[in-house]
Amino acid sequence: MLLTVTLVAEPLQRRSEPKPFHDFVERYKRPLYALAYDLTGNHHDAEDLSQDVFIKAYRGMDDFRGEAQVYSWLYRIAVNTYLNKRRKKALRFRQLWDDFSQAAPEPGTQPRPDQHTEAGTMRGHVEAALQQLSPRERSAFVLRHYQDLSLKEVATTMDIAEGTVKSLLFRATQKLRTALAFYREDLGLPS
Amino acid sequence: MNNCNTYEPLIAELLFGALSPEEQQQLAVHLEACPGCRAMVQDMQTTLQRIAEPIRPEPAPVFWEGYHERLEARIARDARRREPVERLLEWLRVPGRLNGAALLFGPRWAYQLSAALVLLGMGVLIGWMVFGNASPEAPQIVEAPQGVETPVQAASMEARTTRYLERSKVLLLGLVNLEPEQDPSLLNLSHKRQVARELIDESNALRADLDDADQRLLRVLIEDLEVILLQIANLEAGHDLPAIEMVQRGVDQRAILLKINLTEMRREAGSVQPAVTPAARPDSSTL
Repeated sequence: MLLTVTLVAEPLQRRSEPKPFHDFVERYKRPLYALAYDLTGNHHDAEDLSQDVFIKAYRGMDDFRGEAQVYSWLYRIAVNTYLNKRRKKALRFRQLWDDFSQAAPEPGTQPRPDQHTEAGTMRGHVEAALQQLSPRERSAFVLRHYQDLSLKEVATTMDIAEGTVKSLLFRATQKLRTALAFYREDLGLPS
Repeated sequence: MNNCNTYEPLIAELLFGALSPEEQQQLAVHLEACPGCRAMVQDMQTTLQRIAEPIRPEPAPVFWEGYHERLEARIARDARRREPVERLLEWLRVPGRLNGAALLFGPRWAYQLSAALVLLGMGVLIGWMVFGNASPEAPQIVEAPQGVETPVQAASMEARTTRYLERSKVLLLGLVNLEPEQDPSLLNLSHKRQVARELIDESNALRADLDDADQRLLRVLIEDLEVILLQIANLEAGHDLPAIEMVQRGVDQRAILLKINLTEMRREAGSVQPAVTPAARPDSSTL
């Protein structure tokens, strides 16, 4: 079924002519999934979150006035949705638990050849360290460190002051430093 | 230095942003004079460099192939769920619908009362749409089958295992965080040995009580912990650095702390194992 909405181009000045929603999703699904994975740390919650964002974007398209770039708009929806879900503890952590129990991979995910390799171990360490962060700390860290937004862009996306962003990033890095110290050998950190 | 906290924004700017020349100078002066902050900043920089690239497993091609279908199905479900609400709101927007109550109570009271009734009605309607109209049944007293924990027993087991894991984690962190240049004799090993012995006793009791098949993972974790606890219980007083390093390696190799964190996260998310009632997260315990 084709869902047709008005698509906005970036940088935005005014709405463009209508294009299928399918193309919109096709264009943004991978970067949005990547952000969702960085926020949630597992495949199932990442898919849920990315689809929630598209659903909200679909519902909110008519209200989008073009005052921001599409990526910024989608990122803001993603972070707000993630923070709301964490508040309600709606994320399942299921994939991470499956990693722990060495269960079979979920359908639709790659087989886990790295599960018992150095890369897989490191992924586990880093994800466990990221789980020590509060949702806001993780959001700020992911947006700045992995998504490469500027401090100002992070502040806009999270709707907080730039000073608050710095504070969140400082605390996040401190916690990561402490958490990853346990695995200094695996990560090649100085002892 | 007492004013180290005031430099946190500058340190964050150094790590994640761009300092102005004046800010660089200001921070440089402080780091020159404060070895603690200097070491911390270097550590943070190294940590960030090491995890500079996100490690995201690539979903299988079949995941992307079905993405649109799954999304469209969710959008359709979402639309079906919202349809009764939107129809009701549309109906209420018709002029005059809300004005009946105004004759009795006045406009402001009428709208408030009407809004309350609408919300109540929407809640009932949505509940009926989502959960179906199951006929009410008389409440029955159900006795727990034999071998299944009652809620009180389950809550008690949950509290026991939570406390056990909390105490173990604090004990392990105290040893894992020991730097080679620190003096082990400062660690109060006799107290740690005592705590380890208490936890070993509790390990035995918990493993005997955790006999449900769904609690297998927890039993495995307790078995792993017990090995480490035995090593700690056997630490010699005074300088026993090789033994402490063995404990540290054991914790690393078995990923004990990671597993404890995962267990705690799973409970916090509410995905508790059957027969264990989720309980509120307890305060951090102290040794």
